[in-house]
Parts: sequence; structure tokens; C-alpha cells
Amino acid sequence: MGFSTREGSFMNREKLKKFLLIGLIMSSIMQVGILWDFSTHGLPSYFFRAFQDRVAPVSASIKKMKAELFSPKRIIVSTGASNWIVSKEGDTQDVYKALWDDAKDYISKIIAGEDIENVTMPDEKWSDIVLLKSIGIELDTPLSQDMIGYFLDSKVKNSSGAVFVKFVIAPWDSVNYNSTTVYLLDSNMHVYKYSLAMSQKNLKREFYDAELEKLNKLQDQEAIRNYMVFSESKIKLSYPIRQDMLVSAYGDKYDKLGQIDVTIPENFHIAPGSKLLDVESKLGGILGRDGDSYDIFTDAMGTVTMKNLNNQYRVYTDGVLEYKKTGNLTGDKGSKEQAFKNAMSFVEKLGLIPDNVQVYLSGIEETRDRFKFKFDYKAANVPIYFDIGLDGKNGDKIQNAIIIESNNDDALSCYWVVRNIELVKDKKKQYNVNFSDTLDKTFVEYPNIKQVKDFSIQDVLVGYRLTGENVGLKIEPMGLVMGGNNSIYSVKLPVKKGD
Amino acid sequence: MDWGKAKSILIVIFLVLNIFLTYNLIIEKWSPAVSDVQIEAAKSILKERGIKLNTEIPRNAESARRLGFEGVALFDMGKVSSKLIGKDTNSYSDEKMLINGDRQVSIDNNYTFIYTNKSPHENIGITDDKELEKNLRKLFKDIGLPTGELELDYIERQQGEVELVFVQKKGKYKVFNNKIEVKVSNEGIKFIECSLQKPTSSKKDESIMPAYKVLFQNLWQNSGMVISSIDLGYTIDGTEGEMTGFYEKLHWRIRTGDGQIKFYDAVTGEPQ
Repeated sequence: MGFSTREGSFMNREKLKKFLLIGLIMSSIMQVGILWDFSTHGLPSYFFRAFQDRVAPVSASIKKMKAELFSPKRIIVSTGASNWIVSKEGDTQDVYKALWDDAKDYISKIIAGEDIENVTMPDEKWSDIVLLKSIGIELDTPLSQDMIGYFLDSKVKNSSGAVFVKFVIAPWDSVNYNSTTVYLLDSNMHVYKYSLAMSQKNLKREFYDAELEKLNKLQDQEAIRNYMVFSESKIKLSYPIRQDMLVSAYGDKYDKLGQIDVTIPENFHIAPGSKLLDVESKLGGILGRDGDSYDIFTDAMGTVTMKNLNNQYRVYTDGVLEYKKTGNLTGDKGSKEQAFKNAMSFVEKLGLIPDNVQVYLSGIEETRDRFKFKFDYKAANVPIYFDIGLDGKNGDKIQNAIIIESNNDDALSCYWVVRNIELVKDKKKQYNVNFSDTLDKTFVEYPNIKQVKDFSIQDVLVGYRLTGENVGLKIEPMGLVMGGNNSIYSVKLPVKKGD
Repeated sequence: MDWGKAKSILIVIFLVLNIFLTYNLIIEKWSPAVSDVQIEAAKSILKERGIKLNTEIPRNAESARRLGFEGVALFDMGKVSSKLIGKDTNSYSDEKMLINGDRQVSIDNNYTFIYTNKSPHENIGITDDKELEKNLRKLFKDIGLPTGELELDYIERQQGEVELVFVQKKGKYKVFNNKIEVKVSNEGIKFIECSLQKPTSSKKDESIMPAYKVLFQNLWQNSGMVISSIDLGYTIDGTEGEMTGFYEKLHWRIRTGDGQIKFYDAVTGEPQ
């Protein structure tokens, strides 16, 4: 009994020591933290943040955005007689994915300069190439080999500086069943031909034949439209028109299309005279974790300016967000890829892309010290074009959803037309999408169009046109004629009688 | 391994470490943020740069909140105008200027007015600064201005006229833009410009850069400069157009012998 009492007292002493030791360790950690805080005005919380930054993996949403941004404007399957646009959605979504994955593999091999044969073709051959039995891939914006390499995580061998616009994959053009032919068109209308060996993971000619058969059946069922390559029409016009343009000319003139509902998000509705605390609670999210460092100003028009030492955000009443990096701008121009990464990170950080749209890269420009990247949206694969007058900004217009200038170090400026975009359910109508009708209507509504300097037609398509006036309304699809010099002419598409 | 002994050794080690850290914490917490050595060094460096100090260098180095202003007046404009010129602005809501004989009140916005009198005849006494301040405070109280929150910022005398500037004091700091500027002559009050807004919110701010660091950072090529005062107070940073709501943050204000005023962001030390 005496032994167990001694043992009990020993155990109690050891327990006491254990708790004392834990207490001392915790106390020293806390004191180190407080001292650190004193010396750096912000730690240890900053310390933990820095740690989080270091261990944070590349954001999954950045990866997702990167994949989304590099997707084709159109995938066109052509039999030589029929041309079908393979949709990302509906009956053709599986074949879309298979064809795009296959195309990406060939493109990777081409820019990596793998064991392939290539020849430069005469430029005029392109009009014949687009009429081949083939798979055509059109990009939304011309991309350099370096940019394509960045999107595909592929190495680039001997980047020629060429900027590619379209790819045509023609497996049937090759005598050998184990190889395929890929034609590339660059922005200067130069044509390159590549012969590539088919690898195990590439689609076989049998797959293509089977898919062609399926698409043919869908056309018979009127579930898919047969398009025409403009050069097939043999029409001679008095102004330049892109001959490889795909136009809606055959069969039923009407397509069933939906409307979109476009609004300014609730937190971007800042009424003149709003309380500072309300403004902060609405817009504080875009400032991120150093929101406390920002000064906030409101003016009588309802414009909000938020700025700290290095950044200035301004939110206009029409829902346009303007960002400028201020202070001493550092950083070289750097590479296009790094500048693009910085632009993407900025887009991801702000997180203002509407839920129901697909974002795509619609333009890249380069100046002496920076790059400009333009992003736009598609709703149900129909492009949305912006034409917004910018309040208080010398009459300039914004023609893209997002415009970001960036360099090697960071995003330097941004204009973002912040909108909620919803597809209106159960409100589809039959719209006349016929190419000739759209073009005729355009010439009637814009009688002076042909007098415009260097007028040409680059594309005729269906899209939504978003102006400063049609916010809060249901927007119908329009017929859009894309002229040269980024000009867009829009006309209302006639709706089928009784619809 | 003898865990009991190991624990005892660790307890001793951590006890010593705790004593050391606690000592450092006490030193950090209770020692002045800006030491005498730093102030003396600053004075001698400024002297080397040819800058004369006619004031003490403040030792503030704490952190402070920002103040939000949204155009709410600290006084009743109607009462002020009726006391000054006998006309209540509430009865003349569309008019920006009210005139009564030689006296007039022009209203910039709901918290700013300018009063002028071409032929004043008040016996306010301008020879003694203390007496003048006392009389003006009495007037402010009579017309409904918040006398208790005002502090006399400075007095300047020239050619028989005295200019006094009062600023609002919010806690320990002046609010430089919340001020009343008065011009008085032997005949009486000739001019009052008053702009007093009520802070409606506050926001977390960072730590303040001590004044001596701001002087080091900014005053390089100012040989011959005379610094007459250094104060810490609120002002707006980089205004653009007319604003209806904004935050003001702490700035160091440096007044020079020739009456010039410069503001420096108290967090970054950057000049305004």
C-alpha cells in the first residue's frame, strides 16, 4: 500500500512536470510571436500568410482558366461537300472533346519540332485546303508558338515568330494510314504543311470516318447545320471578303437561339451618396486581404475610388471596374507568357467572371514596355461583344469584357465590364441566321459601310451585342458582320413568323 | 532514457528562455518608441543638412485608425447664418449666398460656409492673443459651432490684421481640414471660413512612421529651411474632384518659417 502511494506521488509529480513543460513551451512561443509583432508591425500573422503563400499550390482555378482559354473558336468537320460545326455541347460534345484532344496533340508535336516533315506551301493553296475532307480548328485569336506552347505545357523548338490562326487536320490527305497531314495558316496568310506520324493515342482514320457518318445522319435529321465555305459560292464582290469564311447558306434559314439576361451585380450597384461602410462591404472583396490599406472615396456621381500606395481601383456607376498600378512601376516587359500569367492571376484574384459563361482570349497586343490581353465571354457558345462608352473617360469605348495590361512583374492596368449574365430559359426563338440575309440587312442599315476606308468582311456570325444601354434587359442574338480594323456591324436577326 | 530527468532539464531551459523573453517584452513595451538618442541624432543630421529646427521633433510612433467623412456637418448651418447675418438658410434653401447689408454668408456645401463683413464694428480686441481667442470661442459658442472640439492651430499678424486658424481635435490628433479660419481687424471680424464635417466611421490603420524618419526620408536638399512646427493629424490623401465620402488618414504636417505647409503620409512617409 505504501509502495503504491509513493508510486502515485511520483506519477503526480511527472504529470505536473509535463503540464509545466507544455505551459512553458506555449508561453515562449507566444512571447516570440509578440516580440516579432513588435519588430515588424504585423507579424506573426504576416508570417503565417507568407507561409501559406509559399506552400499554396498553383491555383486550381488558374489551371482551369488556362484550359478554358485555349479552346477553339470553332471545330469544323468537313467531308469536302458538307461542313459541320461540332458543338461543345449537346449531341456532339464527346466528338468535340476527342477531336480537340487529338488536335492539341498534333499541335504540340508541331511546335516541339518533333520528327516531322514540313514544307511551306504557296499562300493561295489555302482556299483549296479548306475544301478538303478534314477537321478544321479555328482560334479565337491568333497565337504565337510560344503562347501555344505555354497553353499546352509543351516545349517550343525554333519559334519562328509566326502567329497561327487556323489548323486543318487532314488524315485522308495522307497515303499512309499511320500518318496524317496538318496544314497551318498564320496571320500573314502563309501556309505550312506538316506530315506527322499517328501515335497510339491519336484518333485513327476509322474513328474519323465513323464520326463523319454520325454527323451526316445528324444533318439528315436536321439536328446539325451544313455550312458553306464562302469560296464555294463563287460570288464576286466589289470589296474584299475572307474566302475561307464559313457561312450559313444552305437549308433552313432559321436556328433556335436563346436570349441572355445581363445585369450589373448587386455589389457593383453603388448609389450616389452611399455610406462608406456600405461601399466597403460591397466592394471590399475585390481588394483582397490588404483591403485595410485602401483609402476609399466616393463622389457625387456614385463613382468609387479605392487606392493604396501601389494600387488604384475605380468602380463606375455603369459597372465598369478600372484598375491601375500606381507608385513606382517596376519590372521589365518580359516574355508574353509571363505577362499573360500575371494577367490571368489578376483575373483569377478578382473572380468577377460570370458563372454561366465561357471566357476566351480575344486579343493580344504589344507595346514598348507591356502586353495587352483582351478577354471576352461566350454564352452557350455564342460570343458576346461589348461596346460600352466609358463614363468620364474622354469618350473612349470598351470593346472587350476584360482588358488587362501586364508585364513581367504584374498586372499594370485593367478595364473590366462587370456583369451577371444568365441564359434565359425556355425563351428560345427561331432566328434567321442566313448569311446573305444578314449581309443584305447590314448594307441597308449601314448605307455608307462600303465607303469606310479599307472596308472588308472578315466574318459574318451570330453573337450578342452588349452596350451601356441594354443592361438590365433581355438581349437577343444579333447578326454581326466583322469588318476590318476591329469594326463590328450589328443587325437584328428576323424572327420566324409565329415564333 | 530517464524521462523524468529530461523533463526537469527542459523545464529549466524553458524557464530561463521565458525569463529572457519576458525581460525583452518589458523593455519593448515600456521603453519609448522613439529614444532620446534617435531624436538627438536626427537633430544633428538635420543641422548638417542646413535645416533649422524651431520646434521639438514629436515622439509619436503608435498606430491609429482612419476617419471616414460623408458630408455630415458638425453644426447647424441655419443657426449659424441666422446668428451671423440674421437670415436662416432653411428659409432660403435654394440660395448659395445670403446677404444682409454689408454682411454675407456663402455656402459651399452643407458643412462649409464663408462669412464676410465689409464694415465690421465689434469690439473684439486684437492686441492680446489669449483675449482674442477667448472672445472668438465665445462667438463660436453663440453661433453654434463646437467650441470644445476646436484647438487654436496658429495665429499670424500682419498690417493691423490678425489671422487665426482653429482646427478640430479628435482624440490626440488634429483634423487639419476641419478648420475655422478667422480674420480680425481693430474694427471686428471681417472674414470667417468654416468647414467642419463629422467623422461618421473609422477604419483600421497601420503603424505610424516616427517624425524623425519622415524628416530623414524627405528633407535632403532643403538647406536654409526653417521648421517651425511638426504635427500629426488627419488629412485627405490625393483628392480628385468633389467627393461625397472619403477616409482621412494620419499625416505629418511640417510648417516652415515662411508659412509653407507640407504633408507627409504618416504610414509611408511619402509626401502628399
